[in-house]
Amino acid sequence: MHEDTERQLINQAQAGDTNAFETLISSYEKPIYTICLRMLLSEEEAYDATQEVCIKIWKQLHVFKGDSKLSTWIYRITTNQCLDLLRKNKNKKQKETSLFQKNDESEEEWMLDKGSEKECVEKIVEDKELKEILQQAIFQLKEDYKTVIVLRDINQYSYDEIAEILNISLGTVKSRLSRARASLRIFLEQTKEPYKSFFVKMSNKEGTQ
Amino acid sequence: MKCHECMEQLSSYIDNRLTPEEEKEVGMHLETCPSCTEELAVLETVLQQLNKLQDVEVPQTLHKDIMERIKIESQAKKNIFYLKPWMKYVVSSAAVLLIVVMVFQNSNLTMKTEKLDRGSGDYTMQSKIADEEMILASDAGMADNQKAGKESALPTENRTFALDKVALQESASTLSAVMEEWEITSGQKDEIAAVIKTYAAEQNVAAEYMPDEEHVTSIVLYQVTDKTALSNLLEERIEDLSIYKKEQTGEDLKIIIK
Repeated sequence: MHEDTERQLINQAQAGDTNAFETLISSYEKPIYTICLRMLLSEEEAYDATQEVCIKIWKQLHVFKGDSKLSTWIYRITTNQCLDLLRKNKNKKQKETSLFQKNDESEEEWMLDKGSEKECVEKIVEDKELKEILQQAIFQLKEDYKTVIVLRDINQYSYDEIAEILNISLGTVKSRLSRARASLRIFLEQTKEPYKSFFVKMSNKEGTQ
Repeated sequence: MKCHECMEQLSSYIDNRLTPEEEKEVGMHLETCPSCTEELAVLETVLQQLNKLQDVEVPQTLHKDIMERIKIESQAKKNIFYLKPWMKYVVSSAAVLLIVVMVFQNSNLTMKTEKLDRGSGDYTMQSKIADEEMILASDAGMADNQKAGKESALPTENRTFALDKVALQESASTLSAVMEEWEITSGQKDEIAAVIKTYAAEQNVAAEYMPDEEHVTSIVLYQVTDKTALSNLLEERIEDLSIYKKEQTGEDLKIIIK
């Protein structure tokens, strides 16, 4: 969308024009939903979270002064909404006493042992499976890492945009991203399921191409 | 360059975020180190896969659901907006009433004689007041709480208090029924409206513009504390101003612009 058009729509929406808001929000629904889905893992939660984010944007649009890009402002609201939900879910889970997780803080120690007996190597390699494994691994990352991976490696935002969205320095974006990627790689290299088969699948897939 | 140093830089290397010198160093190391080269390949593979996670199918009902909720929100917002001047009026009237009640509580000598004259036949008036107070209570919860606190703190005076309120209610309604009225004549009608609008905003006075805010012919200002300030302000800003003050009592002020 052209900047002037966007500015005009923002003004109209700020004055209470829901049609202008509809045009404005339409182009952001997909990226918002993508961030929510990749951060929260569950489609249902992502669906609800996207709605909440859009309502927040509508309600708070009058405070948006145009100091940053609208997209940056929207993605900041989105990541904050997801982080809030993750924290709430985490508290809820802790109360329910997790049987599968030894320790939430330690990335290396947690283990979801379900189905570790199953041999997956012979399965037909599908993109879908790889995506699910990857999504699972992202979900296990600590919040800071998860956020930068979703913003940079999935949604492809620039370092500058991420720095602004998260309100951190460029140097922090760089180092956090580097550690997040390394951490993700460690998850994927685990010898337990579901990760056990990630690189196997990858190499099978490459072989078939 | 050591292998661990190189590995730390790989992430930024892939994204082209290294300085030319750093990039050169990493490049040189990679040429001679198979394990770091392997590491780079693995990282690139993972990133490629991550990129694919961008393809998300947005549920078709999402947009519709969002807009439905926005419209509900928008309606709610409008309702609040329209109620605002009225709410302000009710809340400020309740506050004035409370203050008056408290003042008369402490010096109700004259009121008591009045009360005796009236006798006990004022039942309908009292029940009407009770109704009105319920309306006020729902909008001015805080003021009402204070009043309730006062009432319970003075249980022995309850009867007197209730009767006092009858007289007070009457005087309060007389106050708000009489509206001061100014007729302003000037060639700069828009200027006058603008000055009054600024005054109302600054003094936090509830204002009603008729027939609408864009084409004002008369303005009602509620609970104006300093009318002299307003007339001074108008005289200062408008050159060909003439104010004719028709009614000179009342807290509320009606201004007719001619």
